[in-house]
Amino acid sequence: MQEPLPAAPRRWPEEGHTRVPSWIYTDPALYRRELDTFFHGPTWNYVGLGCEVPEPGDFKRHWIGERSVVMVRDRGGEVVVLENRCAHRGSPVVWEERGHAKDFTCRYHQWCYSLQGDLVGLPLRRGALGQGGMPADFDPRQHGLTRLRAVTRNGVVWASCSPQAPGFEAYCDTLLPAIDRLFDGRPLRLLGYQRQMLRCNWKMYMENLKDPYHATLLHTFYITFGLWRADNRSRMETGGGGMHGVMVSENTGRRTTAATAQLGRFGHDLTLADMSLVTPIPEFADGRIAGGTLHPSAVIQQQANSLAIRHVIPRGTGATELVWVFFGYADDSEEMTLRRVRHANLVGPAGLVSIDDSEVLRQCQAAAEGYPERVGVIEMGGRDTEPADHMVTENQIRGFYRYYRKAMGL
Amino acid sequence: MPPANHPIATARAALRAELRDFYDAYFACLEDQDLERWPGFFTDDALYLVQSAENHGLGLPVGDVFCDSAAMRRDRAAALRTTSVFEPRRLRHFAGTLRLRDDAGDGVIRAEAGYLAVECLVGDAPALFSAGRSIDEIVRGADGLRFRSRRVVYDHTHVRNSLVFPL
Repeated sequence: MQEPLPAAPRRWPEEGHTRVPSWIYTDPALYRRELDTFFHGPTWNYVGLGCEVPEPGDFKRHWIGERSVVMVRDRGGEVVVLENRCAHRGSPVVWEERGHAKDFTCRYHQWCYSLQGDLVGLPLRRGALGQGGMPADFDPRQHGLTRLRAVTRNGVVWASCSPQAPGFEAYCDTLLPAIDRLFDGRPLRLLGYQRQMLRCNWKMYMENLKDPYHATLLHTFYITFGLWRADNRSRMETGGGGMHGVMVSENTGRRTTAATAQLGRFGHDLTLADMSLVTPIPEFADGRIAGGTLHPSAVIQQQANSLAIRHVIPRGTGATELVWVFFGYADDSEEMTLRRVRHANLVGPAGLVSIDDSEVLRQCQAAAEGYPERVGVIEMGGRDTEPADHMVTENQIRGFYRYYRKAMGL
Repeated sequence: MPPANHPIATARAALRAELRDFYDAYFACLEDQDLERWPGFFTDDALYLVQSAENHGLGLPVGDVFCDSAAMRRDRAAALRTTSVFEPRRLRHFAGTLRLRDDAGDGVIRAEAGYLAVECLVGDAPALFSAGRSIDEIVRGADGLRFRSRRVVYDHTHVRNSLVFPL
């Protein structure tokens, strides 16, 4: 559907952050500004896990927004993040998803870079048979692979495209405890990836993770087996001026309370032949579930014993690549590892919980494209953006759009 | 290669034909979305795993679907039938190359079968949904062939939105 050229600049509904205009999911010019303002701007983005590149020379390719980047463990053992773009004419230097190399040589003209991105070789620099070659004053030090600000914190690699981003800890703000709780310094063990191409705008996906209200109504498995439901004690708040979301709750198992009657999708007759699918082995001393969203690209997941970082990669106004990186700890028992693998059945593209989200979001995106001038209403829990000690609220979504309007000048 | 009418070649041809029938019956069940009958294609303790070639190549255990018992398969079928929310779709399966591994003499038929699945959603053009191969161990019981292990390893890196029905 062609987006008609707007007659005037976009104007947010006058009610402010309790309203979400649908054109934010469909406007291509806005999308490009979001890439510059957020993913390629002064933010911190998920790149990978250190255990994906265990040895010097190991590398893995990934994305920040629409930019291809490479994370590589250099000779000194440090993880470096480089733009995957030859300084010469822009060809991607790394064409494989992962591998091991002693240097990076661009296929096109064989410019050769060290693992740290320094330009160390360039065939025919001095010409051939006395003809051609680079100018005498060509300085290779000015033409390396751009190196991003990167931080490895307890085994997770984050990078920023901008020197203007605050330090990583300050950036994470109220979400830092949840990040440090899952990534507490114990060596990690990569368990695998799930990847899907969602058919919705990246913000629509992130909102879904700032929306405990839907989870307690839509996801029968969560409600019925107590993994996430409105009558569990919880706290929902934002961070970083509204851009992040922090969610803490508890798992109480299957139970009915006075609230159950309103949880229409509670499966009174739902029993499982194998209850291990929904039964966590207790592993965190505080007995809680904690996670959230680190703007713009990461979701911190603790669902039963399934631990993951979900990485959000925008692919145009109507598509989002979602990469689920599942991990455990190197000292997990075999029983725990198997339990984590079982619980991965709940999430991802085939997830018995997550399918609901993928499907609903595709429908919502299609509706936004048909009705770009319509407006969503987010008043559950009130009209403010203050923390809430319950999950019957859209406060995190309101907080995000209050931040978004400021950042985007809307 | 033995001549076509040699007993070994004849037996191999008969086995390939029997396997083709088995895969056809399995795909027909999936295409009918007859989830209640789906677990019946497996032995009780069979492993059913759907994962990317990426995970398979790295030896990583996580799959999009992991069921190591009839109970887990029945639970998944029941969940899809009664609790999952998804728009209606049809999938059509096309069998690809069938590679029969040499007989190890243990009564297990080992095969690798290429496949293609095409998904049709209302209003969309038909979409290539998944392509890959299954790495299967099949055993013969009183009531016919069953998977004792089925690993569906897909070649693409990501799933088109959601993987609802088994492959």
